[in-house]
Amino acid sequence: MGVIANGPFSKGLSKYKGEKMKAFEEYKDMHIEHSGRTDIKRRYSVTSDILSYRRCPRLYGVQAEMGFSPAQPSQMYVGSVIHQVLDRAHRHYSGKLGEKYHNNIPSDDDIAKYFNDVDQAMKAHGIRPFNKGLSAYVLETLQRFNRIEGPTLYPRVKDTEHRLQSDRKYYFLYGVVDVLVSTENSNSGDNSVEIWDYKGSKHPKSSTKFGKKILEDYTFQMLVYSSLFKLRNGYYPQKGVIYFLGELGGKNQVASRPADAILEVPLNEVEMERAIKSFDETVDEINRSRESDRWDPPRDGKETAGNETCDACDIRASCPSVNYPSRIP
Amino acid sequence: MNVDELIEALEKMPDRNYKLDSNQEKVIKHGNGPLWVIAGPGSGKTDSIVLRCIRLLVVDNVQPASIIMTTFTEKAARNLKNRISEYMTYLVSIDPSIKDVDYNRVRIDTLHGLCNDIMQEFRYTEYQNYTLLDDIEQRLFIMEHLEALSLDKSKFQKYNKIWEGFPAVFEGFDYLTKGRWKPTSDHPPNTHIRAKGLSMLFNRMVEDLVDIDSMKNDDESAKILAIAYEEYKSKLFSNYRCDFANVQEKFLNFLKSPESSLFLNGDGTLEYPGITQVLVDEYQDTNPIQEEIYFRLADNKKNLCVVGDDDQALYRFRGGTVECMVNFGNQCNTRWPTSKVENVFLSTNYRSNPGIISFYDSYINSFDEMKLPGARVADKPSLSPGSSIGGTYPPVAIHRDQDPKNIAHFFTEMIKGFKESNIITDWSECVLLLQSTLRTTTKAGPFMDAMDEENIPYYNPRARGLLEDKTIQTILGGLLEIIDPDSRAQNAIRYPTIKDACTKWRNQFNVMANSNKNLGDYVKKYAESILRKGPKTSVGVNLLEVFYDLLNYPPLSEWIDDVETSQKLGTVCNILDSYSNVPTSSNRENMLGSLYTSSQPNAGISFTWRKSFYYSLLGLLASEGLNESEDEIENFPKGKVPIMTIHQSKGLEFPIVFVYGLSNSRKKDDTSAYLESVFDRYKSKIVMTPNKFTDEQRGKQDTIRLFYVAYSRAQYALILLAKNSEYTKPGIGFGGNSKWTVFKGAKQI
Repeated sequence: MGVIANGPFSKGLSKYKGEKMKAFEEYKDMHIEHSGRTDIKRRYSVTSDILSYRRCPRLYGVQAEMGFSPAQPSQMYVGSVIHQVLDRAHRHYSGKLGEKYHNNIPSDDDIAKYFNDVDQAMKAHGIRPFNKGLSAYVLETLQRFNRIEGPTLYPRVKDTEHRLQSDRKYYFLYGVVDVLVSTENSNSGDNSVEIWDYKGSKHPKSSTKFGKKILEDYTFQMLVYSSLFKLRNGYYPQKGVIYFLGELGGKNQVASRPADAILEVPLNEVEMERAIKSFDETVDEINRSRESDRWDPPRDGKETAGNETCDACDIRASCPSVNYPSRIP
Repeated sequence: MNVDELIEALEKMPDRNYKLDSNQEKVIKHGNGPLWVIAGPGSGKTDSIVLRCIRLLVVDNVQPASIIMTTFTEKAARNLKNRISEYMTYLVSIDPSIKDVDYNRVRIDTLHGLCNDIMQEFRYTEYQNYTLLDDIEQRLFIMEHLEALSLDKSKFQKYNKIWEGFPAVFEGFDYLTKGRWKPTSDHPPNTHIRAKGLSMLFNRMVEDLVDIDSMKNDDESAKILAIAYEEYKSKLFSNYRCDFANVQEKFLNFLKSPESSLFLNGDGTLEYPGITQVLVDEYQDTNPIQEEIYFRLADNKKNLCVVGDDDQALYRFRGGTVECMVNFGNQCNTRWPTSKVENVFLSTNYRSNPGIISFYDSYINSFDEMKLPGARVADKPSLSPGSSIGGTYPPVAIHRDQDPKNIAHFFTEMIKGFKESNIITDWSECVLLLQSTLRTTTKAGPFMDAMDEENIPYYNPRARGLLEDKTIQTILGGLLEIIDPDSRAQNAIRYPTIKDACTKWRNQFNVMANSNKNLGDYVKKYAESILRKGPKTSVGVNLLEVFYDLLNYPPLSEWIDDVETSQKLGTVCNILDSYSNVPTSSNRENMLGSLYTSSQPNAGISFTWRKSFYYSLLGLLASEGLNESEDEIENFPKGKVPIMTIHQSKGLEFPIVFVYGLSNSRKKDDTSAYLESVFDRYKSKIVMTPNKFTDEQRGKQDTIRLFYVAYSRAQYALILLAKNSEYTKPGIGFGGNSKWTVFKGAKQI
């Protein structure tokens, strides 16, 4: 009723639709300075954003942008347990868990205790290993690491969970170095350090396309960390070291460091520059995905994403780049 | 660098286009002791606190890790980090000697985030391996674990005194039984209302620092509530869970314990320098337990700087108590009698046209409720204009009509005019603020229809309740067809609303399955395969995996790659995940998301589990619809007219602001005010915040502040859109006393 009753302006659906607005004339004199809105810069993590997107934009989009939760948090199990237990081992040696432990290498029992604490906490949070065997395997691996590397590594540890950040033009890039280690037999004093990163997996095989790519990604990660490290500390680390704990596992006893356990990344400024540039490009790609609302999987599927990522992916059965059947339990 | 050199350098900074005014300089130059900054809208509040932090870093060489800086939301915390980073990058470029200042170590976060991180970092024994529960998880946990939530009368009846004693929290429309629960009702409120009400009460008890023992010595309902709370807390902790209120309580205990010594006092190293500076933004939304935390954090050096605007307090319903801001000066004098508190008013507004400033200044002053002593910070000066915005156009205007459709078309014609005449160059320079952004005829609906007709792009991500969405209904229906294929558990549910909703969802799924035979067959096979499993065994997939399996099947799978649908599905996925992660009451290592078969052969998923799934999770969905329109909006896109709630607009500014709906009665605020009064008498002695207004007065003050926030978002033009009926029976948005006192300033258009 109100529409018609309102009289002379009324025209069809609503009285103002299509009318030249008298009210608007009042504002002719208004001049807005278009300063442009600046959005809050986004923060990108080297590993959970850049490397994840490089592996599979579709999975990254669904989890990071649409906010889906993974159905099996056990994917996080190995990585989290390794980092948390080794962090406790480092704190044990440095005396932060009690002065009586200071300068003592944790025993197998100590590692088992730390492992149980972490494992228990993860269980309480719904994160479990795929099977009981995995849990025992991870513990054994950690004990081996502790025995083999502890005596030489722990005394050299200068810092753990060392946070790094860089203010790029349109975003912030950040990462966390697992351990900062003073260089062995160095003459260059306090400023001679290595950055170490722990991976739960085996050393990727450079003979496969995926292995090659992942090695390049890890190398880039260390190069970028070095560059961010310089920003924070004013000097470059001597080298980057990636430790593949997966090389220590298995039935055969391992008493010394296997050749493949370590990947040393030599650092030079040209390569660092290249790595940072490459990460900038990935951020641009993420932005393009966001703007176009397209999060496409890599065309070659597993060759880029890797078996592990695809096998654990919750949306694999609908992925156009790989072939997984629909599940019936 | 000394402080004058710093200020000089900042004023030369490219892209920073204003000089610091004398009050902003006071904030930066303040030496030691408490600092109380009362900052009006658009007065450079956040910048001042950021610059104070910069001064501490580069002038006073304060160790970055010894500075704590908190704010109200994650987004605001990121903003603080970014601004510090930008200033520091610039300052290092002109003075390389400060390059070693590691500003990333400044502890900037929301208070909850800090509590959690610090207790973990310092390995507080009472906070080892806890998981934080969000609001929904907390309610689901209460439903799973508390006897008060039981459907069995013999178990819950001893708790009846709670709903009878605190009726305002439980009263209201009982969606599930389609009736209204009142203290005189012959039945208790339904389990969802019970869970929601209890979580509100529990949170408040912690936030208001209620002394549980004094409740136990009071009347029966207080006593039983105290007992229920203790039960809840013990269940919570034995399951390694912690809610948002308790994480603060634990942190307060940490601060009182010797275990916090390294954190608070340091050991002389760079890593642990102790806490010497505490800076708090948005202090008007602080609650008593947070106030206590801040005073304890700063107790060593008394360097507590709080910044906020009492007139912009919006979060009483989340426990915010504006009185903490209003009485900060008294608190300092009482707790730290030997330290002098300096107060600074930032009252130059750099945002708005002077006409808009005097409009909202006189708006808030027009109410008797705001003149009562203690309603606002004493001696607050009027805002003075500091921007160069001007012109002969009407800075504030009002348009009235009875028909919302007409109002909506008036709005679209106006913004079209602004765009066509290049007054605005981007749609996002106009904003529409309303009480609710839902697409209904009384809310955002008419505006969205009108903009659709005119092809004006807009951004309103929460226009529809999640469950009104057909895709969401379909996937939930499919989930039910797998989990409860014979509807046996559904039929056993007592609440009609749950049943009706579930039937609707199943129908929606069947519409899709009928036109996609493969999908229908897949779901049947899936359900049959579960039926064939032996009794009491794992189904082999968990609840979320069932959801994903369904979603991966065509044609539902098409939704994954459609961003808008996918975001909604992501929300459903998270709700299922929250439910999945609640530990079961029988075994804390088992989560509700693990699926097991019944003890009967070929009976499918455990009947008890199915029933509890309906009652708790689906009941929560069916009764609430899950709209959290007070959530912050991350970044709204350019090229679209944003439609948002006043809460969401907080901290933002827009060239042209339209506000629709000038009357408001927010039930939430009334309940929050009620809770404050209820717990006032049990507050422990350390809480000194006086509480002298009636619930009604506080409810009204909150609504006034809400409109004040809305009006102060505008830079160039503020246009009010009201229904005639709101004008004849004046809504609070029209000002106090007489509607004309204020509206003489607004041009009728």
